[in-house]
Amino acid sequence: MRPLLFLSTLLMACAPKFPAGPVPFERAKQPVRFVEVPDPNHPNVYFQALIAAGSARDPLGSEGVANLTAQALAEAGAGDRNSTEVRDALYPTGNRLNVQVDREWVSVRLRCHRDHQALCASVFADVLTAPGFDPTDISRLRDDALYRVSEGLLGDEEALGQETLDAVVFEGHPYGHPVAGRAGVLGLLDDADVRAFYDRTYVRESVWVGLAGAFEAKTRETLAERLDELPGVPAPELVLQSPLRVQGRSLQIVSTQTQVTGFHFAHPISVTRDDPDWNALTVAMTALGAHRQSFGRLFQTLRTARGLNYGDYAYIESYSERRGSSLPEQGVLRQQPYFYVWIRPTSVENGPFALKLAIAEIERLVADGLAPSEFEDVRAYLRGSLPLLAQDPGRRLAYALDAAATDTPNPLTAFHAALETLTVEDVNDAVRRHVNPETLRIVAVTGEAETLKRRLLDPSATPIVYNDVTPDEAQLQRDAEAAQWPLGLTEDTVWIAPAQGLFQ
Amino acid sequence: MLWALAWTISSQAGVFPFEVESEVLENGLTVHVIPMESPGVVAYYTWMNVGSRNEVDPGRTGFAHFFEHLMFYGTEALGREERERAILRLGMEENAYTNLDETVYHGVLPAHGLERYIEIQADLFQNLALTEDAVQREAGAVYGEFRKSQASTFRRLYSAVQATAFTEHTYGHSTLGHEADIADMPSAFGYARTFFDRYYRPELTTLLVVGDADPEAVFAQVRKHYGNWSPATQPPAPLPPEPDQTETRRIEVNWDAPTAARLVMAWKIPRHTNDTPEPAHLELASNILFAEVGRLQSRLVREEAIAYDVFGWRDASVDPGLFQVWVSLKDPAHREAAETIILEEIADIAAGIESETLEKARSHARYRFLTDLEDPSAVASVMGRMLRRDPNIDGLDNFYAHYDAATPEQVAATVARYLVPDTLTVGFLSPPTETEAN
Repeated sequence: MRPLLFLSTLLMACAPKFPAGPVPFERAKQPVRFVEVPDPNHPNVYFQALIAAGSARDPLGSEGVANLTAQALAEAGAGDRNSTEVRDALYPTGNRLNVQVDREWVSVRLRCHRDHQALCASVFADVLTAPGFDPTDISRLRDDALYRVSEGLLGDEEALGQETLDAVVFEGHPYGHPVAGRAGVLGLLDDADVRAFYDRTYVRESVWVGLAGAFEAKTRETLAERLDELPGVPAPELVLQSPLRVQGRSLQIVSTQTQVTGFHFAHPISVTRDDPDWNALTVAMTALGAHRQSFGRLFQTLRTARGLNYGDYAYIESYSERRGSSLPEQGVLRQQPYFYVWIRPTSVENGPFALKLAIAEIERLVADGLAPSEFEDVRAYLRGSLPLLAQDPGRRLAYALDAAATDTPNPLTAFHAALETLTVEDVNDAVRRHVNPETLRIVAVTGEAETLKRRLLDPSATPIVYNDVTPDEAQLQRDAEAAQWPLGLTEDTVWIAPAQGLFQ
Repeated sequence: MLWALAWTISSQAGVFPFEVESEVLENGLTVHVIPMESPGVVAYYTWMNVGSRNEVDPGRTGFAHFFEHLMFYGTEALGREERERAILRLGMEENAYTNLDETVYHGVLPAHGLERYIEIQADLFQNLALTEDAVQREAGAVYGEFRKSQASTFRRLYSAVQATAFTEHTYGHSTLGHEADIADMPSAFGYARTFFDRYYRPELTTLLVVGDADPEAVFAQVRKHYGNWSPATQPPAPLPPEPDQTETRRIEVNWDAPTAARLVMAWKIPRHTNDTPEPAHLELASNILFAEVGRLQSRLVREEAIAYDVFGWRDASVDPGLFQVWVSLKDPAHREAAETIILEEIADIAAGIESETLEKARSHARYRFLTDLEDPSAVASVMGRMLRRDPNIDGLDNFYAHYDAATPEQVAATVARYLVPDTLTVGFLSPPTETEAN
């Protein structure tokens, strides 16, 4: 019986589309759009709102207000309740509001046992339509954000590398500052800024609402009625200029107190989920190894064969790990994605070698492509693992909402069919069209910035130092080639910046 | 017949909403199958009764975790690369983790691949092909993990507090192990063999299969593939008992970079058991203290606003563990104020709690448990922890019966008995002062 239910779930998981052409004011007056993923036998009900209100919409000089506003929805009172009363109301349900903010999207989620759906629907609607924005709570949330972009990032070198990568690839672009904001301006934000941002951005046209699991018709009705309290005025436009595409490679080194060296590197791509090449590139990224996929080429080459670090991954969509799982969290799609690789920390000594070897792997992929047998293995993996991405209705809802809000195919439904018609040539052609290892922006986070710079600019080899592994001849040969390989960096394309004060 | 015991328990009248079917093979391997609606997905969890608590041999801290890494190296029948490819073709996700009390190998896969995966795992757990090369390679990866952990204020302070609170028991060292022992791992090939023979045994193993699975078919496959696994000839080495603590201990960690100061207060508490009410009382107390509406949140984060956050937990450990309170302070100078507030709030609970407060905490605990059971992996994770400690599903009902029966007076009395100065360890991690930083 189950597959039938799943199918009906998928069929219902699409939002109503608006006919093209009505004038903006007419369109904006339409009710809030709903996405439903019913699963009547499930114990839980999942509420999610996806709102076009991410940090890319921060006004210049107010970087951080989008995040502060989203956090304040859940943490600064709602409806008739102050912040303590909101928490108190949800406490007996065993759950809490969850707010996730990314560059383009804000997700507000609440999971409740079906026994509590009426209460949860009411709190959820209050949070979105009648936030309290208590100034004391907002000031505390602002302190948290300030801590996060200053000291917090210093203690999390991998997050620091990721933030720096966004800053480098999207310099001068709405994606180019941390979601939490800039340290230099956060202190100036207050509840009036938050209120103004909310009034402007949280309008019907910006919001998609989803329900999943064992929700009752009445819950849906209440929610729909309440959410139409949001203003029916046009949503502000998000203008994204094209990111700079720089020829050649460059390296931003971030100097911090750590015993290790980690890397991120990237270049923008134009492939979103509605692009036919998205499927092919997803296969290619899986072959390279996406998050924690230990069979991937990068993981096998750097970690398994050489013990260089803990893991090495490649992506074409920004990745956010779902807590307690390696499966990706949704709600983080971008109109302007990038191809990026994450080389987890290695020893300072082996840093230069690890970077060269990783980029050489990308070059090898572009030059030689996947072999037919590798393509078949990866395809078998993706076929099997697709249902694992969304085992509970809440995760199926998150995919469906992303698809509806961005008007792109839902991979849970569309990818399976696409896989069957894909060929190894399609994948290799797509890689050649979109991945260019000659134009990478590289970020290193290290405790030995000057040494790293010197060794990468020096034309002599940067060999791997094995502590204990005894490699075979073929590996030694490949090591020698990678160690000698010139990255093409020069004095003019390598910069060092201290981590402290990086996001002023 | 290869199996001696088999029982099936329907616990739907109790707190757990699914039926659990269980079987113990003659060699001591325990198998639980929990069928639940899930679209063609099944979770396969192997819980090993070995964690860092079992690391009693000198110079071998961190070995349970190290061994977790070695378990991905395959067997003679299915070498590492072939195994990797077989897993890939199944379209599954697998990983593992190690903590104080156990090593957990977890997989989630399409239901049609279950039989093949049972076969692969049964072969692995009985016939792991250990090589010197694998030991050397993975030692490097583990060292990398250790180096990375050194950048975490949480991990550094956690290790320091454990080491201070436990002077004899193996809870005194972290799961990653001491650096000197990690540095020595490349030469530990011989010991790895001993470790495998000692701890990777059926009687120390609990299998959980959750989701789109037929219990009878699973039992038959498990019997077929795991039935010849032989139990250990000797029981695991005994652990050194921890002597009673008689006064408050303190430990300071100096951090050499800007960071929020961290304060930890940790009290010794009894081991987790479903048979006595104290663990349920302490769990309720932890809900009252640490929840979003908890007293510590309200005072430290909101009213006094001296902390970025506060959280804590009760160790549901196999041996007596800790009840821990963690605070990130906005200014190290607020340390004394924070300690005072924590002690005041605990004293306040010990002096008595309102029945409405207790009722809400009870509801919170029960519904958090129920809503967490949302997919096969979540059920296997939550239930594995319970069933590894008590293989009888009734134990879970007993635990929740203690929750339901707890009176405000009893919870207060348990708090007054255990959260006392004599068993307290205080840890503090502080950034450099401004003068030092300059």
